[in-house]
Amino acid sequence: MSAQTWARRSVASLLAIAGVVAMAGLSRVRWRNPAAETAELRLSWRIPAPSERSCRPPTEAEIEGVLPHMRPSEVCTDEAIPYRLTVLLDGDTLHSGPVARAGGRIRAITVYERFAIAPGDHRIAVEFAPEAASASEAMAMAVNADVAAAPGDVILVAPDDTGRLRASKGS
Amino acid sequence: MLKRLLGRVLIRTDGWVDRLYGSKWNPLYQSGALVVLCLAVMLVTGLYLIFFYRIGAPYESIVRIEGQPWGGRWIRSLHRYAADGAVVAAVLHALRMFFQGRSWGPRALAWISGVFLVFLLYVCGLTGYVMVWDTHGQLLAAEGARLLDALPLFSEPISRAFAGADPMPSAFFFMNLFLHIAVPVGIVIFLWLHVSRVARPVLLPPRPLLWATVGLLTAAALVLPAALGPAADLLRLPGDVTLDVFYTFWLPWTRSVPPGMAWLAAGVASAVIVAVPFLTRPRTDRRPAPSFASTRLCTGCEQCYTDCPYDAIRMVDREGGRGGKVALVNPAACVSCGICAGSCAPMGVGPPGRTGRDQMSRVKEFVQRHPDPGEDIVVVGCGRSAAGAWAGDQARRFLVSCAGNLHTSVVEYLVRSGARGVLIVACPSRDCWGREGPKWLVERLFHEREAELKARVDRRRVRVAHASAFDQWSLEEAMDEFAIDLARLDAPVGDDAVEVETECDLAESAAPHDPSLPRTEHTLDP
Ligand code: HEM
Ligand code: SF4
Ligand code: SF4
Repeated sequence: MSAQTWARRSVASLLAIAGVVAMAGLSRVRWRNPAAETAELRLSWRIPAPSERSCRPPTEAEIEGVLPHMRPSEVCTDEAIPYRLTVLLDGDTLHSGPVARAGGRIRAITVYERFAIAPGDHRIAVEFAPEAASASEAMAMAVNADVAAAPGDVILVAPDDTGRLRASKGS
Repeated sequence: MLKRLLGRVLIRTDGWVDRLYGSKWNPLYQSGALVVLCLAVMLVTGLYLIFFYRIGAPYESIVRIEGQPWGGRWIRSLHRYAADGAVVAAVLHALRMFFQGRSWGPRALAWISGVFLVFLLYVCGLTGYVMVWDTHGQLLAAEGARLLDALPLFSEPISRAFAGADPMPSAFFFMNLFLHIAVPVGIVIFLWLHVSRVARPVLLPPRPLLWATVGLLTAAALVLPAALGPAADLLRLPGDVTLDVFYTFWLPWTRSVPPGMAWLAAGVASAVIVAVPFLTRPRTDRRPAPSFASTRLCTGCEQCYTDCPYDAIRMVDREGGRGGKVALVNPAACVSCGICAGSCAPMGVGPPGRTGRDQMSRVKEFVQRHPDPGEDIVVVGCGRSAAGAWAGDQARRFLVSCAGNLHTSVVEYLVRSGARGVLIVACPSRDCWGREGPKWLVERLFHEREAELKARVDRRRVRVAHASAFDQWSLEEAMDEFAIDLARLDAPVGDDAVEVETECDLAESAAPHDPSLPRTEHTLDP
């Protein structure tokens, strides 16, 4: 093999090795997730959507043409109860607004919210309650808790086994 | 402008890589086949890994695989590097097709199915990363769910599955695994579609390159095993994460923007890439016309039908009760490579202006302009090869659109006119824009393939060199060697009157592009 061919083959081999090493290097690039510098307050639950039923006697028009034994004694409508979610952090409002509900009237209400919070000690207050003041108190959920959040911590607010909201931190 | 500049970079890179590896083993020319090879490696290594993967304990099963002294660790790394290699090769392959203008017309199907292939490759890769269920997989799954939640697909946010309130359900890992295994089936189907318009697709690189690639990937897997991050923990925000640039380069960016913007960017980029066949299509008056076959000249030998690299020619029954078959070109499938013109002994087929008959009239003028070629080597070549960029005596250069377009009668005419030698410069075999030009050229010149170079032509005066546009070294080297060999021969003696008969010698006016021949007679309506 001539010196030139030898040199060429060496460069070719080195280049191929360098290419594969570069590829292996690019498949393991370290990246610092900036979100991990803060902590996260995470709210997550799903409840059957409560609704209010209102009934009235049928109107003449509604029973006209309907066989007597088929006539309803009353006509009812189910109205979904609108909910509001309020989140306070150290007394300041992080979030306050109606909870959008997916799909039709009788569907579940899902809450899934995430808020970046500064690491440190915090007092959190979460209230999830019907908008109308007249609604039953039993339909509301709330939690007040003092938490210590380190960078990267997730403070999860979710119902416990008894259905009460709890704030907890991962291990 | 940018396309031209980057195209020039590509040509130069090809030249240098040819110099280092030889044009036969230049991996850049084998990019499509290298993707298939990487997919095959992924399949084989994946079949091993699947035996040990547990959807009930995904991360733990990967740790167990990593702990296997003889298999697991390097097989997992090889699976990963093959997946990375597939992306690298696919991007190179797509860039080549783009810069070579092989992206429109009959090639549009290959282009668009290629884009879908890459999309499926990504689905496969991303679900693979989620399967590992380390912090990288966790981040990827959560970000994917956040992006999907922005679309009107689900009635409730699927991101809630990653809230950490409940353990991840096995159903999630099952669905992920199912996608990871099912998508390759889609890849096979799309690959079939991708190459459906090309005849004899080359699906694997030549053996030495194949084994060198597998060897290098295996060595990388042994020496630099793939990373495995800490186990996913939904109640911790992942901090330091090792990203795979080839698959998750977008993650840091999308996390910093609203999902709508991420979808907009992805949508615009995808739309532009899918629209390339329409954006790069030349204006109607600049588009090379498709080939057509003359029913008057065609003897029904089927050679063009066999040789066409795009399966654009059919043999149909001859009309008019004369019996037998004639060639019929489908203009919707013809890329106008001109290779059929070199197949046809009676010179009855080819794109207008590039049939054997057109080449013969051109070569006659060429010889007339150059009456004493005895001193010289005539360089005949494809305009895209080194011959196109050759800075030597232009009066000695005869260009054709593709080496496979060249009719052997042209070579015979030059030799019998007294040329000292005819050096035919073709592109490297695997880089022919018409796919099979150099292959058929060599067969026709030296292996009796129709339309073969006649036995009466002195083969010692004919040589083929393969050299890409920037590879002038190979052209000069071939020229010097040829000159030395020719110097050992007697001085060439030209025939007084060169008559190169065609097998079906009709008047010149019967050339296939003669407007007197109705076009519908030769071509199939799209
Ligand atoms: C998984 C990814 C891909 C694989 C495995 C693949 C493989 C192949 C193979 C084996 C061929 C036939 C080569 C030959 O025999 O000449 C081919 C042709 C082609 N590929 Fe791909 N390819 C992939 C992605 C792409 C992409 C992303 C594009 C462009 C966006 C693309 C565009 C083309 C075109 C236009 C041709 C036809 C070339 C011609 O007609 O001359 N491919 N591909
Ligand atoms: S190569 Fe020529 S003669 Fe043979 S089938 Fe094709 S057009 Fe007809
Ligand atoms: S020019 Fe001839 S060989 Fe090339 S695609 Fe068209 S019909 Fe086929």
